[in-house]
Amino acid sequence: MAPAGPIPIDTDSPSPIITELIYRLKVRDVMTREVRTCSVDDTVRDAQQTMKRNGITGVPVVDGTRLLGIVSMDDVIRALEDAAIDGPVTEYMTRSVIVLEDDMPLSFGISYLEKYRYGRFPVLDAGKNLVGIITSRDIIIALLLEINKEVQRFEDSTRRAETHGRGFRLEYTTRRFDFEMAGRLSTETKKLLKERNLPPKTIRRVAVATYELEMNQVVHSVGGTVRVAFDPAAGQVEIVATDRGPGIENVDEALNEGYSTANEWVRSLGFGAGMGLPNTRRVSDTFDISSSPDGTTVRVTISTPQEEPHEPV
Amino acid sequence: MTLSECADLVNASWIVPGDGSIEFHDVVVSDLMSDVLVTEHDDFLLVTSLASEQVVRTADIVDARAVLLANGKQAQPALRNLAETQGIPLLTSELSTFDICRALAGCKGHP
Repeated sequence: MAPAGPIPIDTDSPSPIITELIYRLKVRDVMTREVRTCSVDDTVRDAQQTMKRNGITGVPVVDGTRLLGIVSMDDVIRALEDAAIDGPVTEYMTRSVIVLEDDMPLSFGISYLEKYRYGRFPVLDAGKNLVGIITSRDIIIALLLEINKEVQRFEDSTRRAETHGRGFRLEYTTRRFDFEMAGRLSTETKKLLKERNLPPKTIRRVAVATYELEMNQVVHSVGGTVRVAFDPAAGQVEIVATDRGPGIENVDEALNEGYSTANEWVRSLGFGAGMGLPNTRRVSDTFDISSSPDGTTVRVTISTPQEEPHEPV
Repeated sequence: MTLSECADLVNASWIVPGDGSIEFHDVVVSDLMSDVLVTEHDDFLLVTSLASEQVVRTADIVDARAVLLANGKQAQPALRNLAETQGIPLLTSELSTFDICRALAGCKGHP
């Protein structure tokens, strides 16, 4: 059967990644290939036993690889009502079967599940041979696996790093309420500074400032970036946190310890006590902040022991 | 005091095992990670009833030697994994934060 009808994908809300995903994945990537089938000579009882043994609720009826129909639990019940459970399965199967083709995008599978209230769809190849079967379970599993991969790719793309000599630049993207990711930059920064044998107290100050700025973006902004740059020749670490809004209404108040606009949920995670910016300022040698509804930028520096540039003599 | 001695005193069980002979000289008790971040202490034990990943992140940043969860708090897999990755021993005790403080108070400063 040819695909028909609009695909019920809400084009307003899903992310482009998901939309791309359900078009890129083909039905054949998702379907179960080992199909339990009945032959034309089987009885309804045979079909029912196959369902019972395999924990399924519908079985395609085939002649070789040609699909003749599908028998479901409802058909078995109908046969029972007729006291014909030992009758031929071909008499009780549904003949007008809705099928999918194996090279259709997965979006068709999803729309079929929505359009027709069947639990499963047999899948045919171009030669009309039965090659698989697809259920909502198959689709959910495949989507979860793929979304996992996409998320991994996305997370990898939120980090940028470069080194030059002993110096380095690191940049991480933060997202609103993504507490899981907050702290990655400070952890990596700390590791890099440790490898460069900076004084532990200096490392701690840098890590605290970086962490508080990451946390601040996660808690208060819609998201942004935090960048750490270590310049050994200049003898300083510079941290710049830039977010995309909504801005701090009263910067002077935000710099007072204990002033907080965080909600209870954020507080229950151990943050939002109005210590972020004061803490950052406390551990920094220079501290600048500017804020507007379009975003907030905090720029701090922390001095490190100055090193001679490694010039050839 | 060593981590093993402390674990015995508060009847703690190990969530992420570590070196029991680790020495710590101070204990910082807080559920507010911002307060932990400003502490000047080194080589301390962090006691908290907060069981989010940020506890281990914070402990790592301020070089805490281990984290003890109070009130029988259990660690979710994400917290456990992070503690393993960062090499920070994680323990839990059924005692309340107050009782943990009481049990450890006598020992501080008398190694």
